[in-house]
Amino acid sequence: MNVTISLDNFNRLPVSRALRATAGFKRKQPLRAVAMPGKIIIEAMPSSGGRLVRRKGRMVWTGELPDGVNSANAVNALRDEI
Amino acid sequence: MKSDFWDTSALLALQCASDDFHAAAEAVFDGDCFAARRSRAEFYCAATGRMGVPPAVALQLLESLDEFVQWISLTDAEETRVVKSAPRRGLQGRILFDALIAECAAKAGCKMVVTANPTHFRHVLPHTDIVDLTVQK
Repeated sequence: MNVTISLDNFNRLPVSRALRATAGFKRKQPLRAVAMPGKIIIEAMPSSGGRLVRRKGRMVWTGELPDGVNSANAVNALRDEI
Repeated sequence: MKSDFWDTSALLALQCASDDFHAAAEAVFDGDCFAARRSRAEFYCAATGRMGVPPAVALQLLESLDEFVQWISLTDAEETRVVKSAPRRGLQGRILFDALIAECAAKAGCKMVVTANPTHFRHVLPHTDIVDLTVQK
């Protein structure tokens, strides 16, 4: 999802319901904001649950992903940020 | 014998049990494969970014793939050739990343690409079998 937004009169950054839903953000979910010149990235905090298990010789992580997030849209989002 | 090529999304699906496409990836994975070296960085970035995997865990997931994956790199000349061919091939936006990954698949001689992002690969590798994890979930 790609939209144009503006800072409001109090310099706050409004993030619409549609943007939050697309990102999979839930109510009161802790988020991490990373600012750099010309860009702010707001993303879900790393999961604190889950563990590593060995399956067929590989390590597999059992933690839950944020709502609406999967491997396909995570890679697409990453490339959109570049 | 290795013959299939896994893109970044498929590798993430394979290593994250709660991913929508994990079961499909496990069903397809036969023990070893090829992948693009640039997928290692994408794997870590996507895992620790939107997917919320703790950084130390993401690194372990990635390192545990080394035993099974032969990572393919492009030379500067190969990468330049792909980028220069982009306008002629109608490549615009993020599909260029898939074109670079697809070039690694071609370099490895793979006839099958496993992905959870099939649309772009059908465009950049029209003559290759695409295993679409999203329809096998």
